[in-house]
Amino acid sequence: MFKKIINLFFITSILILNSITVQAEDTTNAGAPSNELRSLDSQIQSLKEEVLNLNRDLFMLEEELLFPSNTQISVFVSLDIGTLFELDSVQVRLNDKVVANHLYTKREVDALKRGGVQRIFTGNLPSGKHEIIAYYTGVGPNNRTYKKGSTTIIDKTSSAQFVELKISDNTTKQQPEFEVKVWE
Amino acid sequence: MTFHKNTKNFLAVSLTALMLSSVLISVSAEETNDKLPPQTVKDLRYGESLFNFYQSKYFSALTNILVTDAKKPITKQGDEPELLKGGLFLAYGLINQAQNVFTKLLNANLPVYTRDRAYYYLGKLFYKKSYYDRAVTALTSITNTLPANFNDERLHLLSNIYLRRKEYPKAVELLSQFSKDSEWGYYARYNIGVGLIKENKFEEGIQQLLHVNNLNAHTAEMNALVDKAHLAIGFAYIRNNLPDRAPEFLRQVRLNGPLSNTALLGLGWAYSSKERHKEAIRPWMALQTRDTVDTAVQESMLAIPYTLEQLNEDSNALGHYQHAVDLYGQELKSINSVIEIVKGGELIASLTKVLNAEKEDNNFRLTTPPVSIATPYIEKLIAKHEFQQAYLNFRDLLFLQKVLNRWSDQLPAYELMLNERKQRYQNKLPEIQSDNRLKKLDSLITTKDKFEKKLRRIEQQHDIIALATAKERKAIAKLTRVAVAIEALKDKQNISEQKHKFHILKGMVLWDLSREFVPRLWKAEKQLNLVETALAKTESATKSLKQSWVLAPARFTGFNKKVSEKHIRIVNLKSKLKHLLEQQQRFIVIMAMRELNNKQRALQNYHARARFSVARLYDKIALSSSKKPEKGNDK
Repeated sequence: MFKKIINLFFITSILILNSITVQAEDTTNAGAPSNELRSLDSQIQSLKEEVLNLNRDLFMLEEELLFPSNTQISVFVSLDIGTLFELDSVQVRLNDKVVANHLYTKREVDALKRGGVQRIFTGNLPSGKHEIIAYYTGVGPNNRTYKKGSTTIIDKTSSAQFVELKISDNTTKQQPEFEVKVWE
Repeated sequence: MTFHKNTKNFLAVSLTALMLSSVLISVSAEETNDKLPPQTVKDLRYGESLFNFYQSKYFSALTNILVTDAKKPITKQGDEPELLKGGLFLAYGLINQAQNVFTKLLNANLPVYTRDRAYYYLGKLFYKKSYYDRAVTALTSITNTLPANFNDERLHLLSNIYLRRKEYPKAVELLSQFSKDSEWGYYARYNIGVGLIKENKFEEGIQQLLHVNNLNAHTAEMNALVDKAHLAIGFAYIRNNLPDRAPEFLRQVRLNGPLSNTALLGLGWAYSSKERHKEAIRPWMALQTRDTVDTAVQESMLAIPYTLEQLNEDSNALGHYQHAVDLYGQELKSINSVIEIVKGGELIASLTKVLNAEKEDNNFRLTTPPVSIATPYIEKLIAKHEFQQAYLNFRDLLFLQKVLNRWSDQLPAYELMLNERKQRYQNKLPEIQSDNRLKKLDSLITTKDKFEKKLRRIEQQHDIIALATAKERKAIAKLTRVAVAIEALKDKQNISEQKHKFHILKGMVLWDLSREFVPRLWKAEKQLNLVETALAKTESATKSLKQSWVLAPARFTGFNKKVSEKHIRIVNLKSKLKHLLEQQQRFIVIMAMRELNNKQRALQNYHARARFSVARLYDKIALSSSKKPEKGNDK
């Protein structure tokens, strides 16, 4: 009877019957593409590596040209835990001049919460004292709009300087904390 | 079709879901990315790389790490940066580079947790390269420190390898090790079930698939998996000559799911095989209201009249065959025109449009299906691993093109900047070289040395008067004049009182000078130190200025050389990329054409069958009419 039915089956049905019986084999073939694809794929991997290396070299050259280490300053934003503050935006002012404004996507906030650190600004500063002001907006405890500013004076030396704008949770006070850390 | 976790989405409702399925490499990367625990950052540069990695910006994250490695490697994060680098290479498809990183890591003396993770990545890597023996060795070298989701994926990979080797007991044994309700576990179970059926271990296979059927699906992916399992069981029963049991499962396939057409078609065949023709027609009739591009719908158009013929409803069957002939004709016209359009580059243009709209540099997911006229005809192809891989490569190439274009746009700006700096330098140099302030430095240093010498003398001789203030000097001068006057008058009058006063006043002045000497000396020393520091700074600045004007030309040449060298590399890479992009596009079109041609041939076959059946039925009806006695000539 079954043979009879099979004979009656048309193309699609025969294909369906075949398809469900070869799936396990195909599963393991997922990592084994055809020769044609493999060859093209390997050429593409090689190109990817070359572009990646070039991109690295160009980044370094760009940095050397635009931000020499003796004047370079970079400002980073980090978020520790972040349960008491849902970050919306950060504005950075350097010597009363706005140098960075960033509105965060959910994806970026997630990345920050998981330990990612965002480089929000890279620029040049002469040696000496400079004022950095950061304004943070977001949603704080009890779902209230939260705005906070922090001011720091940094003493720029002749080597590249990293400044971290660190947002963390103060669980004792149940309030977010905004700290500026200058990395050596 | 493969039913891997990476292909799980193929079964979701729409084409979007079909395309979300992606390929193994990408999903693995995505899974890894999504499920890594939060990390403590001790080096901002590592944090920056993580920030990009967590957003699936693998190219940027890798660039961050490579720049860091070239400048000053991260030392405060243990082996994490290397693990991240290896994982990123793997995610970005640079398998050989990833292998080098993990092999190097495993040769070092690592803590168990790091070692397990390195083996996990290495196992995945060998799996992707189809080195299954080495993958098994790596994946079974892992102890018990992996997070549950990583371990489930490890078991899934092992299970796939055992299936490939037909080591079914080993694969089945793994099932008990998955964490509770693990999606990886359900996928593994599904694959094992289908594998066992293929090996004619029908009952065992069905048992595994029934486990999948019983899962409490909460996500689109899991619902799709359940549909797939229902379909597999239904068709397995038909295949094993137990069609009576098939409808129970085929009916459970969701009516709005992408497998519903196939399920309806199968349901009809299940009834038909038991000669329950009237029941068979019902699901097929339901298919008549659906999109005729679908092959199941197309096939049902022949299945209905075939069954009507079994029911001796020849006239009715003839009507359906004629309808099928018309429809197949239309579909053939459509597919012929689609073939021409695809040949003309429409599919590539639509894919490019989708990719250009993507903001992320590497999210490994085609989130928007291409708005191409060919899309409904190549849905199944799009879901295949080979097409997904070709799509990913195409997307990567377009992204690399963006990167290279950005740099080629940027480099002339840098060249201009360098030229301007050079020009400014050349203009400023004579001005600076002739600046009198530079010449003053030597005389300032001489003056400072004089002061220092003087101070040393004052200190050695304890010359308190040398440090007197102007007022005190005035007082001393006055006292000197008084002394002279006293000396002149001493023999002429009695000036003992004035003499006494003079001594007191002189004593007071000297006392004050003596008392103030040490603080004044200290203050003078301090001032001298400040002058020394300032002069040292000026001297160093002057030195660096002089050094700069000597070195600047070489520096400008150095930068120019670097920029030119990068420019050449960009040009070469762009040419390579252009060639590969063309090849990749051609490859995608060839795949699409192959699929379209298959569909075209199937349609031609259906069309021929339908036309033949129409002719056959006309003959049959005519024959039977001629055999019947005529009841009236007017009819």
